[in-house]
Amino acid sequence: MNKKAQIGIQETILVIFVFFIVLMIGMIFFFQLNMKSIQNDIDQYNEFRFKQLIDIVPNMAELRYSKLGVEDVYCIDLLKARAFSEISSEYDFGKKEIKLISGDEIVLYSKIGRGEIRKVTSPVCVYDPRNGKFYLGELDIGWWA
Amino acid sequence: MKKGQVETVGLVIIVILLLLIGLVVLIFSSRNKVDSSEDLFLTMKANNLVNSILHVDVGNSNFEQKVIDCCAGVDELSCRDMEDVISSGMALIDEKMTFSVICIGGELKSFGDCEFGLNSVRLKLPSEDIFYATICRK
Repeated sequence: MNKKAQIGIQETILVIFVFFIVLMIGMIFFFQLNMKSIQNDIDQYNEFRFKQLIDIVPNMAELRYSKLGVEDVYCIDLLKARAFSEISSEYDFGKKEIKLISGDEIVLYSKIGRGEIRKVTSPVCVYDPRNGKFYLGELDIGWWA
Repeated sequence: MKKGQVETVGLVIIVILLLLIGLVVLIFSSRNKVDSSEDLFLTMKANNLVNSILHVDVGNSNFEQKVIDCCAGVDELSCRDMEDVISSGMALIDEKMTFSVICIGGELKSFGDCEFGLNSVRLKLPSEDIFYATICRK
């Protein structure tokens, strides 16, 4: 093989080598960007699921006020809430703490996590069956993300 | 510089420019995302307030009846009671908000300081009076 041809082959190998390095850098960059975007979507979804609890918890049949089985009033029954707080360990909302504040504080669910806690609150209607009155209370939900 | 070298340099400049444009497009496309989940959360919060406040008892009556009486002009006390309940409800919300009552006669009573925001459901009372809340983004 003459020298010119050898140089030609070496040049081709070098070009292919550089091309693959550039391709790999591009792929790493692309996948990292993709992973970051997917992680962002997961975080946003988890965040929304957490915030959605302000709508889910007051509508749970275990807590919601009903009269003769009809749930037409958007309120949490205080006695149901107290009963639920005793069996809530059987439920899994993740590492969260859900409290109902209406006069006194009822911890509906608690699974304590580590690190910083994020909180959302929402007004809720609370029904006290002992005197048949409806009050305004506050639902306080904390999440260890 | 030879003609071939000039052409190569030009090609390299074009490739670099294309790469830069692609990078800018990528950065902007990842930034301009609207956070619709926050809007949904605020709407849920406003809905919760409106739905909760409706049944709250005030003395021997409830909020719904107070709104009906206030709109009908039965007495001043009904309007004051209604305002008290609204104030206590608004105190539970961190965001700025406005609570509006549209009486059947067309009179609008509003409480709060949120002008443009997300509206809750509009609840129609048996008297055809309407009330709803508007919550502002932080």
